[in-house]
Amino acid sequence: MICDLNVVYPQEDFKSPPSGKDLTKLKACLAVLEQLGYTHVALNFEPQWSTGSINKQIPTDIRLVNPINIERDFKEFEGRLKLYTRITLKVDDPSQCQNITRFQQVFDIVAVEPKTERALQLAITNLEIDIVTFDYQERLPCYLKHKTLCSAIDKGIHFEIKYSDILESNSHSRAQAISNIKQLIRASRSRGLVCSSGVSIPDIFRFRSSSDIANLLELIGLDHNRANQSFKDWSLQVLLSGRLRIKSYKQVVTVSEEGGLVDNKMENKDWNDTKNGSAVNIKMNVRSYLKVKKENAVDRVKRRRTE
Amino acid sequence: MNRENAIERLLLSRCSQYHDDGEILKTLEQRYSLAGAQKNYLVLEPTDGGTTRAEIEKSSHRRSKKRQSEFKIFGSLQTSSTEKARENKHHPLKTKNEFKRFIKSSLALQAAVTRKIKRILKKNPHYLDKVADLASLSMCKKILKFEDFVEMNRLWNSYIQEVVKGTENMMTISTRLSTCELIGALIEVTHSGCVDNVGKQGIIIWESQHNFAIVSPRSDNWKSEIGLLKPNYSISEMVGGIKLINKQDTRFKLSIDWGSSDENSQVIDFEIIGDRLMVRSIDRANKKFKNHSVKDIKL
Repeated sequence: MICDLNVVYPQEDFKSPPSGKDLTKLKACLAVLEQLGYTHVALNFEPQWSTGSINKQIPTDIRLVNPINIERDFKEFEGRLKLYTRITLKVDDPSQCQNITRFQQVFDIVAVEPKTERALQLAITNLEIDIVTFDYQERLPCYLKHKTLCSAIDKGIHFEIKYSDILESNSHSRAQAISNIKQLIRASRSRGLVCSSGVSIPDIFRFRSSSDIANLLELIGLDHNRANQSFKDWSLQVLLSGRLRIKSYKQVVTVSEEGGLVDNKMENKDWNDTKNGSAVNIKMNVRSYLKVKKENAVDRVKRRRTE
Repeated sequence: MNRENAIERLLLSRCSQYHDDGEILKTLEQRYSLAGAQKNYLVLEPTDGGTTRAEIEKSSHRRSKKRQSEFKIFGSLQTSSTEKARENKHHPLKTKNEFKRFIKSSLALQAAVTRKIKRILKKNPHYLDKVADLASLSMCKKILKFEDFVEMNRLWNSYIQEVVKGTENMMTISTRLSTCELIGALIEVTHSGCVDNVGKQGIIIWESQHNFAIVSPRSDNWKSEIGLLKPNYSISEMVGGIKLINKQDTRFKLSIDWGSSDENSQVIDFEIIGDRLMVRSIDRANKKFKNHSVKDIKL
């Protein structure tokens, strides 16, 4: 089970849907990922504004919040790849983050890209998110401290490394990315890191297999086992916490699915499905989770009695 | 109809002292008057006795005094021990301890029976060939039978139907499930750190902070759902009875009937994550659950 939790979805705001051309390119990307051995892929929707202005942009209808329609657009990947949705929010003003709870029931993974030190602090202490990510080609918002990062990791928040930044052709930003990632590895003490591609549509040829990148990370200073874990165990933990937020009540009672806790096979992923009236979260509807009853031990006892 | 003092009249009409409505009305009218037959005082009549609390204490005190005089040498020790004895947590008559002993003894009995059957099978490999159901053996008489608890499961099913009624939202249902009672539910272990536990199923008879006590059916578990081949049960599976299953690192599946109970009825399968349910069922009703780091949950 190898995960890539960041494949950029070609859409920059809530209203304009991606063109058919972009979608076919994205599908080609997913096919490449499948060939490279990835099994769990998250499509990343990145609205381009920072928190202040995004509040006005979020549609009130819950069906329009998630633009990624896996059921409709990516039907052919069913059974081949497990697709999830992710949102990355750019946060600069920490006071404007109430809307994050709106995304938590809609996207499988909620990530935050802090732009200032205060935003990072807030994301770690207050927000219920899965991933903290940075723009590695720029300078980091602040000096990363052991204490803040480790407290986040203990809470279950993971930090993302985007390998497409290391493969950047511009040598200056590549150098910046390498130094940033080294700093992240140092501050997190090589724990709780998630490695993902972060490839957007134009540079489609940047996809690499996970063992390839594991070697690259070893060069930067992460040991081999942990470099592998960042694709496997730790990524799966991010998925697990994200999935449990959607399909369980506080990680106590969850829906049982054949493929384990991260599976989303039974979930209704078609946001246009309006069978049951208006603004309801269709992921929460009982109908898609119903199963045909099998005979259980109690039934067998009853049958034996009647015989 | 006179609607005044309706309740009082109803109560008095049950009383053998009054024969018709007129008497009752009279009494009610007079009840607070100083002159009437009804006086505002409470009559305390002597009872036939029985033992009062004071007497019991006195007698026990006397007994302990007697004992004290017998062992005068240990006088100081004795008083402290009697004080302890009064609030003895481990008193054998406490219900909790009795239940504990019952579980322990039946677990021991099951283990003994399993061992015994193994020993017999070593000598006589065809011993169980003609026995269809182990409950018919005389040594299995005292082991709890799954069949006795089926009724409990029926009650639980109707209870859970009431709990989940009136909503179609998955989150609401799981919220309600997390606070509801689980005794009586049919559960199955889907994942466990202890490999032996995986696949065990049964009806919950007791839930403690760390354990579920379930009664499992005899030679009937996931193996019988595979069909085709005749399943090969281990001896402890054939014996059945009480199983104690630790919640830690374990996930349980329970299914709830949905809609009408036709032949092709539908169910929803839920999974309980044992690590997060490590509270007594009494406290669970008011507990506020929180999301935690998922380090301890395995996929």
